[in-house]
Amino acid sequence: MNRSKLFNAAIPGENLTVESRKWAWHKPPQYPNFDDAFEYFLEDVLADSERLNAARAMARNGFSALSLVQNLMIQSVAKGRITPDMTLLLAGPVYKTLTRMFDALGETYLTGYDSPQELQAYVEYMQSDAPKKPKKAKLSKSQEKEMQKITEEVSAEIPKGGLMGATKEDDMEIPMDKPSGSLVEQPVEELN
Amino acid sequence: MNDLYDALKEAIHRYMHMDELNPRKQQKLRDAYSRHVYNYESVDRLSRLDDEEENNES
Repeated sequence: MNRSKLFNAAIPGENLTVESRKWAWHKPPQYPNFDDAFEYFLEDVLADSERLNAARAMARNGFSALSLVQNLMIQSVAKGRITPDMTLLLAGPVYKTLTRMFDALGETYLTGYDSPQELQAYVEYMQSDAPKKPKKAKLSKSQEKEMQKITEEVSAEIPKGGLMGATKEDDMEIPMDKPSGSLVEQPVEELN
Repeated sequence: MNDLYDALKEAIHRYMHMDELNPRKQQKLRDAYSRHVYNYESVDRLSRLDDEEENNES
């Protein structure tokens, strides 16, 4: 044990004198309204493919959906997005949406409320040599229609006339060797 | 409840198994969400899957 640290311990009452606006959770939350906060979780967290894939990877490696939501909530409090009270209201809807998304993606995951038998079955599944590929994604009829519509729009022919039909020859070439005139100037070598 | 983690676990369990609560607690929980746009029914509709839709239709 480092004895010099004994003398650097906090003095009783020191917490009352320190800067109270230092941390994000000391300030008013970014989303004080339930609907705004839930929309933030839907649009910026669950709809973000990178974050969802990270969550899927964690779920595949044994993280329960419950721990994912708990950590997401605590992280949001730490970043000053919501208050701890708001997490209690939001946790249920976020958990429900996340687990439904996992179900739709065909993931095998722990819920966090599993019985010993379910845990045993999960362990056996993880230890087995069975392929761990997710099942086929289940989409509702309306979602399938929406997907079909988006696919048709993307694969539609590019118009030949007008601005949208501009050929590649018309593309403007940006000279890379000349100075771009951007805000950040390239360093100039000093001449001796 | 020891900390926020336990409180969140309990809150999620109550939300997901609302039907298992007694009518008074159930109403209390529904009322907490009913004043918002994303109430219990909206969240349920938002993430409903195909097989559930078919079950409800039949």
